[in-house]
Amino acid sequence: MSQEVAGVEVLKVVLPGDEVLQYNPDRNKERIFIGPGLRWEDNVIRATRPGLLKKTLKRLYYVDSHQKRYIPQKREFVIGTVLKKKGDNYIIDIGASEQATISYLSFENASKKTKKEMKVGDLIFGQLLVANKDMEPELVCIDTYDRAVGMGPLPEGGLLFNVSLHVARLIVNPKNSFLLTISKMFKYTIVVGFNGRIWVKAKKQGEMVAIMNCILMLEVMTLEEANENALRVLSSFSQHNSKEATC
Amino acid sequence: MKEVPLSTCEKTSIVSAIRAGQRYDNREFLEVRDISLNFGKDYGSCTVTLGQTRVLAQVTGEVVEPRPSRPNEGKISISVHLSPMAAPHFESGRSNDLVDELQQILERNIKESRCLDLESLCVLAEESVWQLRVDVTVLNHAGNLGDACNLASVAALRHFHRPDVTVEEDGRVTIHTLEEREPIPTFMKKVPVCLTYAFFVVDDKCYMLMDPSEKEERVSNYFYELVKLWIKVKFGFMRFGWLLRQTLVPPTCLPS
Repeated sequence: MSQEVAGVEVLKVVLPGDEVLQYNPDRNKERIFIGPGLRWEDNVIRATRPGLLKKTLKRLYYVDSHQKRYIPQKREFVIGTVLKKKGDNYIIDIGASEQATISYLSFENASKKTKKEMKVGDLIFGQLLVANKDMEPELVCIDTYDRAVGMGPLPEGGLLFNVSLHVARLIVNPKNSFLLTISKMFKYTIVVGFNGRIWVKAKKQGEMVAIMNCILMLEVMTLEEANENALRVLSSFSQHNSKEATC
Repeated sequence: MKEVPLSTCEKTSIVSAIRAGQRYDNREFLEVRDISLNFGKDYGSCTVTLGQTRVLAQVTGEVVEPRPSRPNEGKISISVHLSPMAAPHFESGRSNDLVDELQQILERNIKESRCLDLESLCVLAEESVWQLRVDVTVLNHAGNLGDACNLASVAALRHFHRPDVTVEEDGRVTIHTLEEREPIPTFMKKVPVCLTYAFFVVDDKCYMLMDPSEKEERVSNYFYELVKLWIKVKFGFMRFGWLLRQTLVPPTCLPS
């Protein structure tokens, strides 16, 4: 049974090692694309992760699985924490098995004389330039034309929390209006890293906690259910009276 | 894997939320997360869920020779296991500060409090006694492992039934199977209950939070563990007393 969901067809549930389809480039005329979770060996495409096998309109096959640990992928935007300074580079933690590096020159308007100073514990939003299993991942905060395009160190304040990777991808998708639903209640700024880290900033602390809990709902609900419940959850959080227990 | 370090943003946001009177999961400051206990089919097995924290305790018993210094008393041994299943920065096998700390908490709560009558575990003085072994495995670490481990091991001990034993005249000891004779429950005259509080010192004010979650634990200034022993009086009423206290807090910050 397959369903059409916004141009993506869900084919079947696969386990690692399952044969998905036979593909011989000499015989098959039309080209197909294989994405994450699939591997092509000896003219057979097998699944390497458990999850749902999906196919997009452009003949791209991939396996959508529930994942919390981040595996660095080139060109993905991530939020990292500065760990230490090592020579001309900063060592950043992005939640992967390896720590990433970023050169102090990889910022907008940075030169050897005007260095970007960052303290240990600061947050930084950047794009992965190099990410493969053989090398340490490398971050940059500029694009090919040396513009920042929203990347760089994140401002002071705000709230950082972790979500599963599929939730981060879900809210960033322009077809989903979940973030717009939340904006009906509060005004806020949000930065979403594909490593599962989300940074939110709003006027009051209570609002930020409310938005965080609203997004965390997506871990256990579908998008439709979350849209229905969002406003109710947000208003219940904002009505919380401040009670202080002091000693 | 090393523990992921907390960013400055996370630390300051938890503290400012607490100053505004709010916890991340919308609990009251003195509110505990939902607790559920699940007992296994075999006697002595208990899984405790404290919010997202999960701990499994298993009690087993065998008949051994007693300690020469205490020939009438049974033995209890408690061991805590932390594996990468509980949190990615745990390494099984290597001795961890947290493992030592949890083991110390459990030994103090169960052994030193004398809540279990060890003399009732004696089969034949100077020859055979029951040795109860409590194995606590942390399945998921989401804060407040001390309380969860304590609850799991106490519940497992109370759930445990030891096989009935007959001592022959010539000194032979026969252990009956569970089908032959009804097993005997363990009798706990006092029940140790452990409560953990986290303290945050902000702007000369001290905030006290009960049952801290993982992030709150890492950001807090101090911890305070309170162990209350509930004593059951013969009519079934509960009275409690402050019998044991362990503080990790400088005296100026203690609640009166």
